[in-house]
Amino acid sequence: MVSRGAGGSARDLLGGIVGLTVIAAATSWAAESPAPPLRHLYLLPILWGAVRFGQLGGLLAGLLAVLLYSPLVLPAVEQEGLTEETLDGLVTFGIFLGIGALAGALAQRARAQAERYNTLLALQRILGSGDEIEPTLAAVTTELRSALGAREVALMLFSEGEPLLVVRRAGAPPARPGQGEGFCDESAARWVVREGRSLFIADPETDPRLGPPPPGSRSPGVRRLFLVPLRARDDCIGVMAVEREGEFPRSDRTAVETLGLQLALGIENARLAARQRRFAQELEEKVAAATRSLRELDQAKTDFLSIVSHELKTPLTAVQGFSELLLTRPILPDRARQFLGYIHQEAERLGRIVADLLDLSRIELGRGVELHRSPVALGPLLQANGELFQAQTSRHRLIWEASPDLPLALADRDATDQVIKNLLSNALKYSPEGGVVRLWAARSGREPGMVEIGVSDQGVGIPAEALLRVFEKYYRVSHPATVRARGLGIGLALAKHLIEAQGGRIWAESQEGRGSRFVATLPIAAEPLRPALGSDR
Amino acid sequence: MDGLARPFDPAGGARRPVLPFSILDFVPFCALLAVGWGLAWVGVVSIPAARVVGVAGFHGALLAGALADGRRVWRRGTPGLVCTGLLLIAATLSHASVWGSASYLAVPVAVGIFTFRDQARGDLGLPLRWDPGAVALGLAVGLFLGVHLLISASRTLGYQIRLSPLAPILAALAYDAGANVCSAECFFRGALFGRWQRRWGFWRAAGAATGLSVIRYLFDPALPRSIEVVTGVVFYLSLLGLSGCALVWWSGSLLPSAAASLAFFSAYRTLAGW
Repeated sequence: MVSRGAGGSARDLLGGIVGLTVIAAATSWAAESPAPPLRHLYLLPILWGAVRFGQLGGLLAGLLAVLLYSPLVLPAVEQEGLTEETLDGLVTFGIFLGIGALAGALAQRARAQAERYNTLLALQRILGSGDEIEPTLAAVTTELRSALGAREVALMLFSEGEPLLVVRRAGAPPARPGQGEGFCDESAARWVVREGRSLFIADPETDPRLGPPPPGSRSPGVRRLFLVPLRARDDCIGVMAVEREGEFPRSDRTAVETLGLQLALGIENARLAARQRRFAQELEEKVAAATRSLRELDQAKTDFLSIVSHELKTPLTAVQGFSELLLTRPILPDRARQFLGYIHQEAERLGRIVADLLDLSRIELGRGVELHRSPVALGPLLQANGELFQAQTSRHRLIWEASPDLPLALADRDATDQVIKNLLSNALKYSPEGGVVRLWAARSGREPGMVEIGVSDQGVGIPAEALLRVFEKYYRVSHPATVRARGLGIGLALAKHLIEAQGGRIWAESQEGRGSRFVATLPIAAEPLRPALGSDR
Repeated sequence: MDGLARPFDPAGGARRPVLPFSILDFVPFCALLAVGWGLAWVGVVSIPAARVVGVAGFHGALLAGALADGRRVWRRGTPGLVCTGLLLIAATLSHASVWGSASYLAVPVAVGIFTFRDQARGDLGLPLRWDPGAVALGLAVGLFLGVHLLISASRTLGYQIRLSPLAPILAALAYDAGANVCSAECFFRGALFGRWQRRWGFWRAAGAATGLSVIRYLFDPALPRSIEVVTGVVFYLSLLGLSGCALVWWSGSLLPSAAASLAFFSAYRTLAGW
């Protein structure tokens, strides 16, 4: 795209010389005067040289023609002086040189223009086709290297004046500044970005503005270095560095600057397009995730409704059945008392379900549960719950203990009680018959200023992928061994909400087949007021 | 592209001087030439003896400047001194016997040794890369110009081409190879053009180096002062100089340019009356 001028080859050059020689021989043989008509035949190889090799080619072809033609003209000038014919011969010299130079310049300019458009098209194609910016820029440097006839082309992208990326050629890994790769932090590239101006270094080997060259890097040929800022809109996004051997005239540098402008816009557009693609992809992923989540939620609500209906229907059936028996049949007082006990038990269960649902509803509405935090002794709470749950089950062994130095927790007593109940209820639900369930409270070793309440069981355990989701609403771990376990899937979600609302946190640890461990922390309010309680059954 | 691996300071240091040597270093050479010619003028020494001193002093100065490579010409163990000594011996032997001119050939050998020694030390030195294709092209260019000179001179001015006696022609060729071409190529193409092309680009550097080399021939006391000879010198040596610069620029070596000059002067030496 720049004025290399030569579209020809050594074969063309040889052909031109032979052609000129043949014509020269023909005109010399045919000449009877210093200005034979056949001399115009010299114009053919001159024009051919100009078209094939540009201005230099045209000029050299013209010079060669003058040299070959001069033995006809100069002796005549010497012998006859300046006659009309000899003057015609001398003017012919000028015509040969002038036409060669002019035609060559025009041909060269036309070729450079065409190559410039071709290069721009090629660059647009490359920039438009690549998804990733780094390989795309590597392909751009390769294309530019060929188009500019350069020894090497490097593209450096900057962000807010700081080097971001250096791409030298296709195949070579792009370098991050600071990783070496022949890029100095205080290099000329940074100056170009800062000043927003091009920089031409005629001889990097000896230029005093550059630091000394590395040993052994000197070469007899001259290498020119030209750095062009890549300006997109009002921002300098990078630098294009072109190193060429031999000449790097001003016209070529202007062409490179023009190319730099186009390239900067192309790079900026490619970056925007890449960003847009990335954004669209992210959006698509987010929409897919949201859709998946909505489907899961929908399914969970459906399951929840089914479970709630079942959970409500079971106690209602019991209440309805036993009350109907009491109303329709004569029943002994002891028996009636037993039936009333069942009715009361089922009514309590209904009450708990409704209370949980109300709490969940409040949480979902963002109102949360009203808490009254005060110093709470966890030992008695553990004991009460331990005794209560042990009284309700004979299938499991329950152990509760509080450490001797257990301090008071700053918590809402009812909320903490509910958390313990939920954790214990879960543990019993998923523990096999004869399994041991441990309930404990102690000063936290990993979180200073906190107390821990923990429940562990010897149940089926929780798979790793489900462990992260057990605190989600309506989520229930499906396991063949626990498929008959009853529950709404909101107990742990409520526990998490209540613990976090009191400034603590809750987590679960589990090993499949060996049991689970749920631990909640609460802030310490004061030192313990009395010795810890403990029971081991 | 190690330019990007080096720190850049826009204020920079001082630029390298335009000349790869100090003019003051040539004062001893000029003094030697002046004394030689002065003594010859007053008749203390013969003209041929003064010519011997002149040849050695002049070509020695060019070679000393070319081999200085940016340093002081008169450094210790200077190549310039050695080359001047060799030239003095060769000029003396040449004066004594026509076959003594063969001793001029020791000078390019010494230049080659000094250059390779410089390059082995990590200096750039004179570019003497061997490229058979480029040397052949240089020979073709020199032959073309030489043959053109023969045709023009014989047709225009009636000069005769002669190849006998052969001994003086060979002696002149040895002088060209060892002193004339060797010193001109090393100085004008190797040192001046080599330095200036880095600074100014090809055309300006080639124009300046060629202009100076043409001036050097115009002041050659052995050159006939007729107008056609001076015109021919300007025309052919300009073309030869520009071609030589182009060959150095293209090939990165002085050898093709030296081959062109040698081929041209070989043709020139066959003209009767030089």
